[in-house]
Amino acid sequence: MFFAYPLAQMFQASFTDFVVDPHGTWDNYTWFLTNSVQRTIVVRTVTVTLVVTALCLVLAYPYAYMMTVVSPRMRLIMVAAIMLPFWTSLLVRLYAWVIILQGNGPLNTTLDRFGFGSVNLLGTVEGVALGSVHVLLPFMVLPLYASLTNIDRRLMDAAISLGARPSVAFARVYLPLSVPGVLAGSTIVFIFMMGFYFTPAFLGSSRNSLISEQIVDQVSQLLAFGRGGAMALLLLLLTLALLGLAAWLSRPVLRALGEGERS
Amino acid sequence: MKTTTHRGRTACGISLLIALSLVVTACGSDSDSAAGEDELTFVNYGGDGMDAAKAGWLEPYTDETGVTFETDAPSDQAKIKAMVTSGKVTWDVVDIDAASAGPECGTLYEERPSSLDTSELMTDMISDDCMIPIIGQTVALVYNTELYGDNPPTSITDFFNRDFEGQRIIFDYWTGSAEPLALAAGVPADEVYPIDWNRLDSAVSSLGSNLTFQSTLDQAVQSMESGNFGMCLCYTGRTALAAQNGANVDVVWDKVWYGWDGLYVVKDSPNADLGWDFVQTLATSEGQSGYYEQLPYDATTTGEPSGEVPEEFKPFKLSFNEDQVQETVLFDPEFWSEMGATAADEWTALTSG
Repeated sequence: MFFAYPLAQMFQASFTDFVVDPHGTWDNYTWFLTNSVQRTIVVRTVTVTLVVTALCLVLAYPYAYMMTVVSPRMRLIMVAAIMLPFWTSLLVRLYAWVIILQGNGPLNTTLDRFGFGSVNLLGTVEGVALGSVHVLLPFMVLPLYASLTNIDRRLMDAAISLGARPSVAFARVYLPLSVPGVLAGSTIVFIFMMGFYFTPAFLGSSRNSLISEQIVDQVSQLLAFGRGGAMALLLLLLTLALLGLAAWLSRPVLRALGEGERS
Repeated sequence: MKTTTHRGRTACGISLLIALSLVVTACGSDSDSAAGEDELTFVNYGGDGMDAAKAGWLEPYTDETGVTFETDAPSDQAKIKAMVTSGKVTWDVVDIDAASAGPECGTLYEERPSSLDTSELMTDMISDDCMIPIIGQTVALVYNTELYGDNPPTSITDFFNRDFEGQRIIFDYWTGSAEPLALAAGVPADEVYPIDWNRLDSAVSSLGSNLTFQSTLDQAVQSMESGNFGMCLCYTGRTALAAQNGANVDVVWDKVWYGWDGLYVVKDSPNADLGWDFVQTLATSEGQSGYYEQLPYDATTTGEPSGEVPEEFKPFKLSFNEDQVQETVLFDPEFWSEMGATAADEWTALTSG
């Protein structure tokens, strides 16, 4: 109800709410799909989303793996290290990033001190990616940990006892078994990032705005609910298409794990 | 088996933590409530502006009439549209950008009663049949005095002069930004409207990443205070606040843009009559002036302000620096109203293309 009703309203508005006259039924969609600036923004959104998802995975995988092998006390500390920032207000964290990244902030002061010069990250797509990885990392670590913790490590021991080097055992036994966790974490991060608003709004600028910011602009500044609806629906379809593509590409691995049949 | 159970519990525990976190994250937004019979809900853009409105307008009105206020922020026309469409209007009086609100006069805002006395208002600022003008705002070239020392910019056109180093900043909204950009690009004041978007695009492109569009006015204040800027096409009122907080800033007054907000009563407001009484008070010099003792903006009434303007505001108020101004572009709500959605498209292409 809370999902379907607004979605239906949005769908209806995309065909009935227009900001220019005269108008046709498909005008909101036509405007979005034929506007070169909006296409640039969509490409930027997908690119940043893929980069952030990949970065989260690269950082989260070893972290989640470590969580499965350390002592219970250490594991608790590692969970706390992930969760405590997560429980801190998003706005506070974003303002902290603004302070850290600004021209004379701690990051540049430190870089300057060590002779590396300064970097301009605030208001850039790199700054947005950095902040987004920080915000979304828990959403990758926790599903990954939940998946990795259920992998029977005796399979690794068996592979090694049969002559496989540890790295080969990891790559050919452990890694494939972790694919469901990787997919779960990546899916969550990907979906969040595609619709991310606050982090790009705080750490980016209109020079590198993402599609969610454009939707907010259309709705709040222009009262273009129809355009916003069309953009949101196309964003939803694009997200589903990309997720479908990822699921299709991962089918052979899931099938080998015995999960393909269930899906 | 024991290990699996333990791990299963841990996984369940972590899942619960995620769920709890999502619930905690989801909770926390304010909810609105309709005001009572002797209560009005007043909405503006919040922050210092709301503090000034409370001290200069709302509290004196309460003292005089007994009418109390609920306040909310920021002014959000999409929220107003949602309220009016759903028939659940909880806002009464809203301070909002007149260019975007004007076209919604009669649909999202109540038309001004014929009995409302507008004789003390500057008539050329009454831009539609629903509003009264409030809070005159100036945008001019503001620069970092510490960065430029003895060789400061002297004209608004220095904004695009690459001989001056430093980051340029401007507010990311077409009204009040396109016009100063045009002045800075060398367009004479009387030719600023209609906006020549191609000329603006060339000028903006020439600065590349040295020009930052900031999504809130607070960000401009923060940039000025932190010193992370060279020049800004900034609201001078906000500049005064930054200066009060220690920012090293000064204003070049040669060419400026001047605009104002509108005060509107929301369509089907639960306390519309009371709202208009309050609006009537702010349509007078005496009623409006309290705000300008708190913030360095200008009144939109013809009478002399009754309050004392603090000394530290005077370098940033147009009314005290008019002798330095060579050209002024007056906000043209009709132009922006006619531009409609095209303005947003042009601005998006300029900033994001």
